[in-house]
Amino acid sequence: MRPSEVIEQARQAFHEGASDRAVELAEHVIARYPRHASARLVRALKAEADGELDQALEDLRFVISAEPLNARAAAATARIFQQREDDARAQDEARRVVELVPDVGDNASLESALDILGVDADALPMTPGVFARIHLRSGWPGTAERYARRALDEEPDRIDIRLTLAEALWQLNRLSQCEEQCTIIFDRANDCVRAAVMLAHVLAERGRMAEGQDLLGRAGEIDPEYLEARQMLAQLEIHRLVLPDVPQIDVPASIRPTHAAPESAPPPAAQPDDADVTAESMPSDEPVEPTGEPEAEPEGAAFTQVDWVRELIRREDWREAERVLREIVEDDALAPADVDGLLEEAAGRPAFAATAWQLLGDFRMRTRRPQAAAEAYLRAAGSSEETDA
Amino acid sequence: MPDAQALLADLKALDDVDGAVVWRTGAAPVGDLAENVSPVAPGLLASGIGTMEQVVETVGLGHVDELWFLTEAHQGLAVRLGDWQAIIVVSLDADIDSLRNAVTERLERQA
Repeated sequence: MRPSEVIEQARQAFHEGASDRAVELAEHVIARYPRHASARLVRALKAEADGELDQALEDLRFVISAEPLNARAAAATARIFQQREDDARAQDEARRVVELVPDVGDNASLESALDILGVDADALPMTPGVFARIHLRSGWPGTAERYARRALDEEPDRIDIRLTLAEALWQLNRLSQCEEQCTIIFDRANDCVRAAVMLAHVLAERGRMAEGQDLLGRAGEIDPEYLEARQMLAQLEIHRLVLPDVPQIDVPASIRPTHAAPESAPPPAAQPDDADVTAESMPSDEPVEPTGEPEAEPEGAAFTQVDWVRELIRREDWREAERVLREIVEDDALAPADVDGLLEEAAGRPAFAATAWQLLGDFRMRTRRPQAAAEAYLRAAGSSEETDA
Repeated sequence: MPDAQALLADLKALDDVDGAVVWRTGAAPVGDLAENVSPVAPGLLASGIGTMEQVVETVGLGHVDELWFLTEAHQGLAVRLGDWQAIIVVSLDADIDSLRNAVTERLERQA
């Protein structure tokens, strides 16, 4: 099981009120990856719920340093300041949550922030920081840069805005200016994963591969699956950085969720009570279609084709994974960056790497990026040789 | 893509053609090369030619219609016609001029 899957289950357990099991799962990941930001966030939320505010704040400071754009962490910090009747800081953090423009699925963070600010959503001021985030997320880095610079004129210490500016510059391929901003970010948030990824790319582009890889490795301590790095680097037509394989983590039966995945696990009562048995050791004999309503899905969540292919890869059902990925590549329904990211993620599994790289090459040819396609095909050839050896 | 597969079969049937790769702009390449080369060879050849086209265009030399290469054992010819592109790999003693005409003719039929 990937660490992010364990954390997703921890989050789900937390939302269902099973906070003890949530924190057990998070601690299990932290034991292996002490700087895992998402695991530390789950632990912080549990500490907040238990009224252990100092402990919660300690984890939240780390999470915000690693992920300055994490709206959940900012919202939790705002709530803690409010509990401590530090209204000024609570409102500052709440404003920051709003300006981060949380994802659609993260209404809770926005609601917390609006509650602290005492305003309705339609009364929110549209600040340059908000515009910067919206424009960057809409794929307009040029205007995002202008708004971010205006926002920084007003609040030069805002690391989240500076990170938005750095990302805009990075997307505009103004690497020296991006590096300058990343250096300032590291002064204040030296664990920042996204800044590390951008700086690693800048170093690699200058031929300082070892330094770039080393920096990327530091980001991997916080995000061991390199999810942020994969998502960011997938925007590039080509890069020289090597992303390590996606790690797997065993979850002891004692803390394994009773409805973990939409597939293989038998009903809880039928599970062996053996602490050494992992979820991976219980493969399903029967193929499971992604239709229906698997228990594991959070309420309202759609089980997408992408979820399905990830599940197939987790089960090591390579043939079916290849079939579904081929459909994804051919139907043009997803954004190219998303398909690139998914295939690079799939290529992280050595047994599937050659196929995934070849599919990525085909996809890049389809999307008229021959140079990037050549890179993918070369990796496919390299993976085939490794497999043959 | 049936069109690409048909064109590929057509090219492979030409005298002296040892291998061929075919693709249409916006589609993945299909190929039939010698058995002892890498399974990703069609993709590599196609993306390599595509990269070369981009390079030539980027430096302002115009659009590439044909590329020919020579190794110690083979000749290779890439021909573009509109959205369609084909690469053939032939032996050293093959008549590349007549093959060029044959490939172009088949691409014209496809276009």
